[in-house]
Order: sequence, then C-alpha cells, then structure tokens
Amino acid sequence: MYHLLRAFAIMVFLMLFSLSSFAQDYEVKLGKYSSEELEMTSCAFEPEAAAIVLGEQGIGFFSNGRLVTEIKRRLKIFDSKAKDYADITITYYEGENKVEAITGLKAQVMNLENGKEVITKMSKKDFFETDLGNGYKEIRFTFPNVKEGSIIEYEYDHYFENITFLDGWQFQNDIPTVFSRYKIDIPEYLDYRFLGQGEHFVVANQNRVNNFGENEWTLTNLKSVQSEPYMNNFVDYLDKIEFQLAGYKDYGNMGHYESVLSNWQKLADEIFEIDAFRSYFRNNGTFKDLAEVDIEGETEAEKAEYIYQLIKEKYTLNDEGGFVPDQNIKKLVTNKVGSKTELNLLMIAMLRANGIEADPLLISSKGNGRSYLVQFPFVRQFNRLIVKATIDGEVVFADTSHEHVPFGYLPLAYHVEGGFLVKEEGSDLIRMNLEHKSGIKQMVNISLEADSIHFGHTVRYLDYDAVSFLERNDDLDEEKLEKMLDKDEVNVMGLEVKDLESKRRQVESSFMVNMPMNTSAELLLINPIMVKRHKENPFKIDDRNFPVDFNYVFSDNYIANISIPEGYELDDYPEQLAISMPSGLAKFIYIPQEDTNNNVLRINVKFDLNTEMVQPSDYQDLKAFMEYMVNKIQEPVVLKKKS
Amino acid sequence: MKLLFKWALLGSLFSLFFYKSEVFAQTDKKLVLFNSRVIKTLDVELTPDFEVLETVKKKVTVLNKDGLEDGLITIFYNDLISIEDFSGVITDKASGKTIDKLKLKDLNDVSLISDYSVFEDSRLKYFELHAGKFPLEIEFEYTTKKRGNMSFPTWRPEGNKMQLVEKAELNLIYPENMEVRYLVKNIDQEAKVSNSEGKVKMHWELENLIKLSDDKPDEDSIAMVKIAPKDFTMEGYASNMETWGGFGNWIYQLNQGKDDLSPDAKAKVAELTEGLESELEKIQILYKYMQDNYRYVSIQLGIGGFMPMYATEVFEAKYGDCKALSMFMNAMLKEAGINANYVLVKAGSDENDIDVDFPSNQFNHAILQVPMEQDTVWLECTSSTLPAGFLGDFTMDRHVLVITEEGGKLVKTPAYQSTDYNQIKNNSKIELLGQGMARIKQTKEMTGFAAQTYLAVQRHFNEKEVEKHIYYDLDFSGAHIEKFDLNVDNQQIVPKAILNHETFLQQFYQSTSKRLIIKPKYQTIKADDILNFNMHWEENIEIASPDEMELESGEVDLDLTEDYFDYKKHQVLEDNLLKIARVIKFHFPEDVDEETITKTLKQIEKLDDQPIFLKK
Repeated sequence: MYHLLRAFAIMVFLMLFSLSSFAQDYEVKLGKYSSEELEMTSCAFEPEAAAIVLGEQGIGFFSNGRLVTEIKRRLKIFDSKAKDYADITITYYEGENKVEAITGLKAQVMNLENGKEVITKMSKKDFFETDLGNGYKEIRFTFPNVKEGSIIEYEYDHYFENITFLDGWQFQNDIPTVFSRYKIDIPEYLDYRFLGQGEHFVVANQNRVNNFGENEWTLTNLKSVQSEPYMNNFVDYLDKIEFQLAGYKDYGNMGHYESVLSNWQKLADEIFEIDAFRSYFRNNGTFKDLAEVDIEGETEAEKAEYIYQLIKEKYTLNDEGGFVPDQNIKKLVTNKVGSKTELNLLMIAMLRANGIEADPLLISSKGNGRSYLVQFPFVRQFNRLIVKATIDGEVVFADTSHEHVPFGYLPLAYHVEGGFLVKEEGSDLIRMNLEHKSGIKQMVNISLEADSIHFGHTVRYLDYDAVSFLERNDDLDEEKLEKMLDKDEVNVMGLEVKDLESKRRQVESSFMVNMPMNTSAELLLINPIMVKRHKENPFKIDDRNFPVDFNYVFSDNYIANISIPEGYELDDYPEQLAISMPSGLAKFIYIPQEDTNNNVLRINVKFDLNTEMVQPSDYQDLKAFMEYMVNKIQEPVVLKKKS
Repeated sequence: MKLLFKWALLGSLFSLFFYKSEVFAQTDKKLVLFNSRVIKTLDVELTPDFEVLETVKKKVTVLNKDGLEDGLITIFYNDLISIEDFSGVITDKASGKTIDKLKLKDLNDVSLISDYSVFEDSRLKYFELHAGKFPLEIEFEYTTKKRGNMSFPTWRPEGNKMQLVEKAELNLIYPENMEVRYLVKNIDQEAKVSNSEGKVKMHWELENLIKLSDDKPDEDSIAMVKIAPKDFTMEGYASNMETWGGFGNWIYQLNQGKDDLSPDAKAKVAELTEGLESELEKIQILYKYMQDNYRYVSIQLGIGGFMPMYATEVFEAKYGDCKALSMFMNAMLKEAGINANYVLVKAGSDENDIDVDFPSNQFNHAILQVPMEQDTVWLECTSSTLPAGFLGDFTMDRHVLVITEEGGKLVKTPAYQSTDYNQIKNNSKIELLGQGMARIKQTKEMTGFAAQTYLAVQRHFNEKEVEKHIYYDLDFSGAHIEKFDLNVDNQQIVPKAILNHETFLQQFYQSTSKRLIIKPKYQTIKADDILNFNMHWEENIEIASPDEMELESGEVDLDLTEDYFDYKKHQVLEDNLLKIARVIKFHFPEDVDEETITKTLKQIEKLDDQPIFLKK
C-alpha cells in the first residue's frame, strides 16, 4: 500500500496552528480498574475464551499536520492457556523518511495478591525494536509475571505523516473484546470520507457520536474471529473503518476548498498522472514498436489470445504488488520482467496497438479485506489491475499472471462482483459478469473381463472446472492418478488428457481403470463412481461464522453404466435419492435404472450448486446435504454369482 | 503438531536457514536438463585473533526461468557476524553486456526473527534475481567476519535441484601455529595442503555434481566437510574443543553463577517441598510448579545466544527460553538439595544423531538431567505438558552433552522402545438408528507418545477449540459431538489421556435395497505416530441394532504374525450384538525406514477395511 502513497503525488500543505486541547475522556486508563474488570473470571458471551480484551481504544487527532493516534489496550488472562497473549508485537512502517513513528510506549501488568492490586511496570530495556527491512519496524515485548487473573495493559502514540489515507481502526480480535472504540477529531479544514465495513460496524455507525468534527464509534461484546475452511479470507468480513481525504481548505490560498479525488474520473486522472502508468497509454516509440510486432490471427479473439500467450511466455513475473506500475513500458519491454500490473498494462497497450478496445480495471481480489466495493472513489479498496477488453463486440476480462488460467478466464480469487474501470474519460465502477457453465461431466462404462473389473472413464471438465483441473493436475500421469483414486491394486491405463476445441474451455480426461477381482467370491461389490468433486464431507465441525465460498457455481453430471456379465445377476443396488437445500441453493439427484433387456444398470447422478456463497445461517443444511451426497456416491452395487 | 508445541530452539546456533523465493511459472513443458550451472568457492580462514573469515565466490549461469532461484544471494549476519564486503555483477550472456552491478546497499535486508521470539538479532541480506532473457550470469563475492571461533561453516558442495555444479572448491586456511579440526563425509579425496606466509591452506575440489530430485537428502549420504576448532574463544570465554569435555567446560564457564536464587525464590522452593520425603516427589512438584507458572519465551541474547538468563530473573519475570528455564529448574533443584546437570541436545523429532566422534557445536536446545540412584530423570523444561521424566520425541533416543563440573560427557537419552510408551485402546459402543444414522459412545485411552497431542490440546486450547480438535481427530463424517470429556494425567512418568465422547453420526452405514453395509471406522495411524518403533493398538467395537441382524459376510477370526506386527481380529454376532475385537502390536527394528512403516500401515489398513454385510 505504501507504494501507492508514494505514487500518488497528492501533497497536502497545512497551515500550522495549534489545536484546541483534546477532551480527556478515556475509558481505558492505565492502573484504574473497574470492579467488573477485577472480578471477571470468564467472558459472558464466549465462556470458553481463555483471555479477553477488556477494552481497546484509538483516539486520533491532528497535530502539526500529522495524525496522532493514542492507542490503549487492556487484556485479561483468565487461564494459563492464554499466557501467549502477553507477548506483544507492534508493527509500523517507518519508510525512509519516518512517515510513521511510535512514541510513549508504556506497559504494565496487574495481579491481585491477597486482594491487593500489585502492579509491575515495564521499562525501556524490556522493549525490543527490530528492523524488518523494506521500511517496516517492529517493537516486541513480553509481560513478566503473567498468571491466571493478570490484567495486562499498554499504551502508545502512533504518528502518521501521510494523511491522505488513514488506516483507521479494526474492531475485532482473535479473542473476545468487551469494547473497542475509535475516535477521530477531524479539524474543520480537513474533509474525510469514511469507509466502514462489517455487520457490527453498520449498527455502531448509526449510533455514532458526531460533534463538530469529533466522530466516535464504539463496538461492544465482539466475539473472537478465526479463519474457517472454504473461505478465501475472513479479513474480508471484519468490522473496520478507514478514511480517505476528500478535500481541504488551503490557508495558503485564502482558505479555498480543494477537493481531492472527488469522483471516479478524478481518481482516474490522478492515476494517469503517474508517469510510469501513463507510458502504457501513450503513442510513444515503444507503442509504435508494439504495433509492428507480428500478431497471428484473423479475428480479434485470435489476436487477443495470441497477445495473451505471447506475454505469458516471453515475460517473467517479479513479486512487486499493488496496481501501480514501477517501471514504464520501455523498461518493461527491454528487460522482459515485470509485475502482474505491468504485464496486464502491456497487454492493454498491445491490444490497443492492434486496434482492440482495452482498458485497465481495478478490483479488490478475495482476501484483500473487502467483501464489497464502495460507491465512492476510495482508492485503497483496490489491489489488482486486470484487463477489460471488447473483443468482437463482447466484453472479456483477462489477467496474465496465472500460468494455468487460459485466455478469457480469471483466477478464482478475482471472481468479484465489480471493479473500477480506469479510462481517459468516463471512468466508473462497473459490474463484472463472468459468464460460464462450469461443471464435471463424467461417463463410466463398467464391465467384467476375465478376472478384473474395467472402468472406462471419460471425464469432461468445463470452464472453471477445466481451469482448476489444469491448475491441480499439471503433470498428471497414470501413476499419479492411481494414487489419487486412493484404491489399492488398481491399474490405470491409456490416460489421455486433451483440450477440446470449442468456444468454451473444455478438458477431457479419458482413462481405463482395471481392478482385480476375486472370481471365487459369491458377491461382487462395485463402487461405480471413482472420480468425484468431494471425496469426503469438507465440513466437519458444527459451527460457522462466515459464509462458505465455493468460488463459482457448477452443474455436475455423472453417469455410470454397469454391464452385468455372464454368470452374474444384479443382486442389489443403492436406492434412489433426491435432496435439495432450502431455496434451491444446491440439488443432488441419484437415480439407478435397471435395463433388463440389455442387462445394464445405469446410474445417473446430478449435483448442482446454484450459489457461490452459502451464508452461515444455511451452514447446518449444507453440512447435512454434503453428508448425504458424499455417502450416497460411495454406495456399492452388488452382483451375485448365478447359482 | 507444530501449532501445539512451541519448542524452544537456540536459534542462532545453526546458521542453517531456508529461504525460498517465489516459484516461477514455466510455461512450456520442454525437457530441461539443468536450470543453471555454477562454479563456486568457499574460503574459510581462522585468524590469529580467533576470528573466522568466510568468503563465498559464486558464478551462476541461469539457463531458464526456473534457474532464477539459483541466482538467489543470501548473507546471514548478527551481532557477532559482520559483512566485510560484497560485490556482484549480472551479465547478459548472449550479448556479453553488463545488465547490473550490485553493491551491498542493493540487497534487501530483513530480520530473521521468528514468530515466537521476543528478541533475536539474526538478520539476512538477500537479493532475488529477476530476468526475462536467458542465459544470464550472476557473479558475486562476499566476505563475512565472525568474532570468536567456536563454530565454523560447513561445506556442502552439492547444488540445488537440477543445477550442474561445474566446480566446487573449499579452502580451509589457518595460521601455522594454530590448528583446526575437520570431518570429511562422502568425499573420496585427500586435501591438498600447502604452506605460505605462515599460513596452512587445505584445499578440496569437486567437479560436475548434479542433483535431480528435490527430496531432502539424508545427512549421511551427502558430501560435506565439517569444521571445528581446537582452541577457541568467544567473547572472552576460552576452551579446547578436541574433547566433549572441553566444549562442556566452555558452557560450564558461561553458566557460572546463573543458578543463584533470591531469598524469595528460596522461600518458594522451601514452601513447595515442605514435608516431601523422596527426591522424585520433590522433582515432580517443582517441575509442575514451573510448568504451571512459567512460560516459554524465546530471547536470543548474549554470546550468540548461548548464555542463559539468571535464574533470579526468571523467577521475577515468570518466563524464559530453553536455557533460562533449564537453569532455573536446576537452581530450584539445587536449593532442594538435588543435584542436576544442564544438557545440550540437537532437538527435533526427525533429526539425525550428532557426529559423536567429532566434538563440535551440533546442538540447538537445552534440557536438564537429574542423576538418581535408580533411573535418571530427564526434564524438558520448555514443555508445559510432559510429565517429569518423559522427554517426548523431540529429544529422545540420541546423544546429548551433559555439562558437569569436570566439563562434559556424551550420554544417550532414553529410546522408549517398548509398547509401554505408546498405546491406544479404543472402546466403542455403537447403536444403529436407521437410515444410516448411528450414535457412538467411545472411550479412547492413549498412553505415552499417543497421548502427547491430547496433553497439549488440554493445556493450550479452550473448550471450544478442544471440541474442534476432537472433530478433526475423530474424523467421523457428518458427526455431531453431543458430549465429551477429556482427562489427562501427566503425574506418572508415562503420560496418559482418556477421551470419552458421545457422538451422533448422520451417515454411519450404507444401505442398499437388501442390506446394510458397515465399514468400521478405526483410528488413523501414521508413521509419525510410531516414532519409538513400537505400539499397542486395540479397537473394540460393539454394534447394536433394534432390528434383528443377520451377518451375511460371516464371522472373522484372524491371527497373523508378520515381521513387523502381530494382528488379531475377532468378529462375531452374539445376542444381536456385532462384536469386533482387533489388536495390533507393532515391533519395528530401530533401523527401519519410513517407507517400510508406511507400507506396513497400508497393509493394516487393508486388513481393517473389510466391509461387514448385514441382511435387511
């Protein structure tokens, strides 16, 4: 992010004048404890918690053109299990010019001994500062004498030189929090936009105190937050607030109001102000060179795909992040090494050089800390730049950074609702509709030959299932497939993986599985479905706090034909089943059909997921649904020797 | 397991660290023989002032994108190691043009502080190579200087995966009037020795080495030269490393006076041990007091991380690292009239043993040994869960250096090679409820190594987290735990954990139109669970149904004796109760490889995974 701050040449000059004294209205005051705090032995709203944040607060105000945030935090250890919470790390960005600083660190621990409050204060020698490199620093310390019932607390001031974007406050912790308060006193000459997120925050925001520039949010009784399986990142759902400068009164110019990034086009203009960025859109020498590169293909789609492949093959990614390029187009084309953003910008330039309309689109990828975009030109919500192109009249999104993602598809973490289209004119938020019909279509023909069972597989992976198949199975061979099937003594033969020529992405994997059988046994068991989306139910525990994210919807269809061999009869097979989740979020159908004329048993399985996100309120249903489905697919068909 | 145990490592003792840069994508699948070629030289020089100069020269020719990782430069330093000089140049091999010249300031600089450490001064300067055109050459050279010659770098000529080492050289240089010791492994070559300007130079040289697989090589099979001092000194403490006693003596000097206790601390010891008769009782009570009240915090300070904190400081702060906690425990025992010894160990559950014939610093952890008339008691002072006297797989069965007044001696820690130290007994009563549903009441009794995880779970997790762990440990599909209780006992030398639970299972059995199919679910055992090569594992299952059961698949009575295990399974239907009794005894020889264990476990799985058919 700091990258971005440097890149944006937005300088705010402030006339220096002293601020009115700040109201001393703390709720956390070192060494002063309420009787509730002293007596508390467990968390009322999360009884199993071994420690709790009794209170934390950030009081922000501006002084000498800097933002100062006075931070105080108080924790109580209920159980010796939680002693690790007495190890504290404070990370900050100092940069080359001390753009941030930490001062006035104080820390102490209080234990009740025979009813008396015994306080141990920490001193400077207990605080260790570490240089993490790249401008980041860290202060670490560990509280002494920590035991059950200890209250540990610390405070410090965090100074920020850059006031265009303010970090704001994050309200939750990985242990429960009794209250978390953020207050900011914004002087009359500064104008900020607020950006809040999270369900508790929305409620708190309605009750916020707003008094002559003083804004205060207090969230209470917050449960602990932790990561869960099948989600891209819980950070996207946390309660938090951030700020971006909307304008200021310039006292150097008669108090004239200067607005900053007041609409999407202004934000786009600021981005185009960056030299390196602009270089990708200019009719410069490099652009002319690019126009002369031989591009194979007749249609726009063929040309675009050729360009996409060319960049992926000829250029190397470095690990620079953010959506602002570091190097200009000339340097990139010379060195052939660039960031994700730079390679995508190059693709735009090459498309344009070939007469194809293309523009950059800024998005907030999954895990970037945003579950939705705000309608205000809030620049920090974005973290990636991708390509939006209009090809043969159709909108296509592209990103060159992922090896196995073919042209016309986006990496799964980029499956978001919309983004910010950056154009020379008419920039705005747009919705992204990623049309696809993903799914796994499988046909298995099962027959008996001599002393083994043959399973002839044809499995087709469509659209995003094709992408994820390629990502996972880059170097699939028969031996690996045998291991994946997780069955003893199977023999995989004739594996063939091919890309089907089609408008949609399709990968077909065909192979034969031979499984030895015991010819003397009376009963013969066959599990017809070997390849399946879920081998086991991924949802094991009962609770869920955040939505389950499946990344994309799909429709699967598995068909198994079992030819009943000479000398055997069909004795028994699984019963029919049709289940669906409430409001049709997912459906599962299992239909066995006996064709006595041809001596074939056909099993038809359908599994449709109709929503990418399943909300926590539907989690119990989802867990039960998956359980039935996973088990049903594993049920065997029984053949019996004819007497 | 890593999450559960926060083990204490001496960190900076090993200058080994792994830094992996981003893996680059290779777009086309061509057959590539090498990703890069390298010519490299390591000069190790001992100065008359007991400093160690290490000069690394490398010329890497990068042939493709995947080879960029081989161009990575890493230089480790701390308060004892300083970087004397550095230079590098990157050249485009096709045109011969210089692309970039590197100076020290062009390198990234990061702290190597670990997540669990409060203070550590280890730092790393690194440079990652990024390029799009090949072939490319990166040539660099740097020298570091270390104050004190207690340890030397080890020479490992082998390259990275798919890298051709065209030439690798080692020069070991020392003043004629001083000596160094070395240990050559897997190199069939005598060193060339030459003398000039009062210095001895030993030279080794290997050519055309290639490594194709990415597997971590076995220490015993790779070429290396280990170097150690004869006379050595660091921060004013001197000794002689030719014997383990000499090294022990150095540690003994560092530890001098660290075990004094304040009057308050002495009073605490007296209070705790009052009325206790036996030494073992005293050890147990003091150890438990430490486990309950002191926590492990990693602080790497002083003499490269070798000098422990004062025991008094530990008493005040209620925390310490492995050295500090061992020293504090030692001090408490001394106060209680029990003699104990500070011990250095190379910890890690899959570490090889040290080279016993090559006295040198090969350790990364500290524990405590209490010699007793009968059995020696070993104390892992950073564990808040293990019983007094049980070391766990982190430090068991290996040579350790016991520090004594006379210096030090090598001793082996217990191997625990008996089923007494590793047992699992699961008793399950299952009631079929129709439509695939069932309720299971289970008692899991785990002893020794098998109990380690639950000891830690009980210690570190809150109730919700314990339940979550049980969900994953049981690994039942579609389970709802209705109630559970977990009891651990670490007051005996061999720890024990007992878990009782009652769990509803949504889909326990399968049903076709004519029959029920039951696949009994046993515990999952992995090679890691049998680190002491022995285990007794019992599963007793009773399945009850409200309907009349008819066993289609027949009764089972198996009794097998194989090379590495005994297997017994008895399966009957009696009074409408389906009873399965299955017992396994593993007895692997000590030199067994992991693959054999994994294979054996597969064999067991097959014996276990026989579905049971009941007629409807």
